[in-house]
Amino acid sequence: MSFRTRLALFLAVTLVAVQALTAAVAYLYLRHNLVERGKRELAAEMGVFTRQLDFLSERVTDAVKVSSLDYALRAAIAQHNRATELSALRNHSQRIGASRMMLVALDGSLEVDTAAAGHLGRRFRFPELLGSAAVNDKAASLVAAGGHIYWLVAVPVRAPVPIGFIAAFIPVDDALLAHLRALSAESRSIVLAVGDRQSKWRPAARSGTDATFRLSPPVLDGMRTVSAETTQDGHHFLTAMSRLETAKGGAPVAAMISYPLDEALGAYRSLLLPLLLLFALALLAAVTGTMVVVRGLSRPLELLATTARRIAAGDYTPPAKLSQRDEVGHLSDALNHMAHSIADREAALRHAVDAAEMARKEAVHANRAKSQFLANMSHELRTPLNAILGFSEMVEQQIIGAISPRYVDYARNIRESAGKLLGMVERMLDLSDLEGERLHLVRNGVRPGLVIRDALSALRPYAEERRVTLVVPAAVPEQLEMEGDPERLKQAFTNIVHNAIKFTAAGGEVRVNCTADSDAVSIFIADTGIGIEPALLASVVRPFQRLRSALDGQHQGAGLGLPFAKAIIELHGGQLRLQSTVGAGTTVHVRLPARMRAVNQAA
Amino acid sequence: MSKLRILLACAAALLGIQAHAATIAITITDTAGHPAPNAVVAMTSASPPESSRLPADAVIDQRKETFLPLVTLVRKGGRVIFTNNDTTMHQVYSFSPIKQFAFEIDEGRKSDPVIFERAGVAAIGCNIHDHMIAYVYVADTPWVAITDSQGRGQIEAPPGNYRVEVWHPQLAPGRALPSSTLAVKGPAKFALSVPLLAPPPKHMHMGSY
Repeated sequence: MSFRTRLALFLAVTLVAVQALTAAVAYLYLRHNLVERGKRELAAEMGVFTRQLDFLSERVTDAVKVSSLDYALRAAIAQHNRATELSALRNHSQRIGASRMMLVALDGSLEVDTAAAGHLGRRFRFPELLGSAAVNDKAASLVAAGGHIYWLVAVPVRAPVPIGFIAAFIPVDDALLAHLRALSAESRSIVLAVGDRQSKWRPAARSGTDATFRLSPPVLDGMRTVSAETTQDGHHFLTAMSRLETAKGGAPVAAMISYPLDEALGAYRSLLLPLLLLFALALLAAVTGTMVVVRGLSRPLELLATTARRIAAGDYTPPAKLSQRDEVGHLSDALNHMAHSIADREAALRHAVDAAEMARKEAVHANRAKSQFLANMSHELRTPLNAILGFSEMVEQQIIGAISPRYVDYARNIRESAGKLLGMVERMLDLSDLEGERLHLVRNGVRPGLVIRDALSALRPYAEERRVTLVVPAAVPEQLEMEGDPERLKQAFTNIVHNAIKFTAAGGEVRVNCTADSDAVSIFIADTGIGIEPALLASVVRPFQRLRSALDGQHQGAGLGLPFAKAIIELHGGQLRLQSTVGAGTTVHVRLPARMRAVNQAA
Repeated sequence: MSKLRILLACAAALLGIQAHAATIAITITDTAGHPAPNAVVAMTSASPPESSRLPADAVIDQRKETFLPLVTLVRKGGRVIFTNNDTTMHQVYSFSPIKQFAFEIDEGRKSDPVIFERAGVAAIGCNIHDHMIAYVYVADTPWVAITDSQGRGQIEAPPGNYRVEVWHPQLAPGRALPSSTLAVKGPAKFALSVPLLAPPPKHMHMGSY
């Protein structure tokens, strides 16, 4: 995923998260406030509702009062004319919308009842209301009867002194609530409920929506009015419940006003679409802005990356210069500068390499010329040396003529010196052959054991001469066999052991050891000589590098023995290594590939 | 009215009837101790008197939508004339068991006398003005008095044992009247406190419209 995409994604996600969080907090806060305000409003509306109810109650009371002043009715009552009383009360019931009217005597007994003609003489059920009517000339109260709610109005009948009471039941029914509801906010539902002995409220009159009728009313718990949030069928409602004043001795009556909370929130829901649009715009702006800004960064970065790849591939042509003067511009400048530096340095390096190569070629050429010269020289030297050897031997053997013993001795000296010189010349020739890769090895079956034994027995006289003890291996494993040139190998070993004897003082010893494993033979030649300093170990196996420090007059030679032996052994696929401690001695370790011959072929 | 009462009192004194009678001073209060005017105190005895000095005729005037006086005392068989000194017509009625009547009186006129044959109290109203009310107390005993604004009155009665009964417009309707007994041997005092209702407010039933 590119940097640009990641940044844009990050910003978009952050924006969405922040917006969602803000929206959630705002919604919860708004809802909480709405609910609290709704509760207060509902409580206030409950107050208005109860006052409206009181006002209507005054009106119906006055209507009953007017009825009580009807002259003919009063005349009938004064004369205790039951039939006239009943018909007059029925007439007045129709006039004022009462469902039942009664005539109550001053002593509280029922005289006439429009609803129960046969049950007269009973006591009126609400004597306190009559007392209040006697004092205040009228009284009204809510009562619940038979699951319905009424205003019970009582007024004294004066003719002109009180001669009885008229009591009227005026229904507080759905129609009346609908009327009240039309006067207030339409969305409110009003339910009047009657409490039973189990403190359950049963609706007696209602106006509004079905859902609100089924709401479980809030618990009054001794309070006159409570408002609360309730839930019905997954919808939320605000409800206010208030206990209404009722006539003493009747069931309690409560009013419940409610409205759906969704409606209150609905006003804010219309905000949702514009908010979402705004949010989408903000998101679009953020993402687009990010893309544009980051493109300004990523384009030049990609350009720089291409340049860097080109530089890595060896193309140092400077990239197109970036015009922008910001961090990326600085980076581009630095990259250009670096490309220039690398190009300069590489040119210098190539120059140096070329020079070095030329010098090396010259050196190789010179060395080869020197080797050629040495080879030619040696070759040229051999012929006169052979002549010197031949003639000195003839002189020594007195073949040419008898000479005095003193000249015989001279002749021997000449022959021996010439012989040494010839040996040296031949080794030089071998070495130059080695360097010029002109040395050709014979490939025969060789038994290293025998080769070592021959070399050691040839050197025994020399060791005795130098009074150095030569300790040979008790049993050189003769059945070992390898492929190679027996003469050259013998020469190599001879050189190593000769060297060891040469650099060991009189009374010292040279110990040769031999071990074999499945595919190689190791030969250790250890002396108790002067040793070699660690820093010089590498140089002693290079031609003509005989240690200067060892040139103490005792040792002579051209320093060709070890280099020659090393070359021969390596040509046979072996290794030669030196270990040495100054003053304690040197050990040469030769390892040659070899394997055991079958026993039955042992010679 | 007071002039009439003084005249009657003077006539009684001049005639010197029942010179041996004793004067009983009466004080009626409500239960709070306030004087109760317009209370009618009636004494009855086992031996009824030969004659009554109570007025046989009375006038109830109507002024400013008010009956005056509030309580009128007449003897049984007494006659009451209603006069209308008001600016409106009045319709005078009574549904009382002792006497029922109803008639209209135009302003500035007076009615025919209404004869009260039966003892008791008649409540008189006006069917045009519901707040108008008057009471006619028809006594069948001569020993009756109405208390004045101080709740006081007096009765001349010969010595003897009497039952004293008090009536007042503000007594609770439908209840037995407060009563007591009194033995008169000479000048005596009679005091009684009676439970009175608050006076009915004027224009109560229609509010102010």
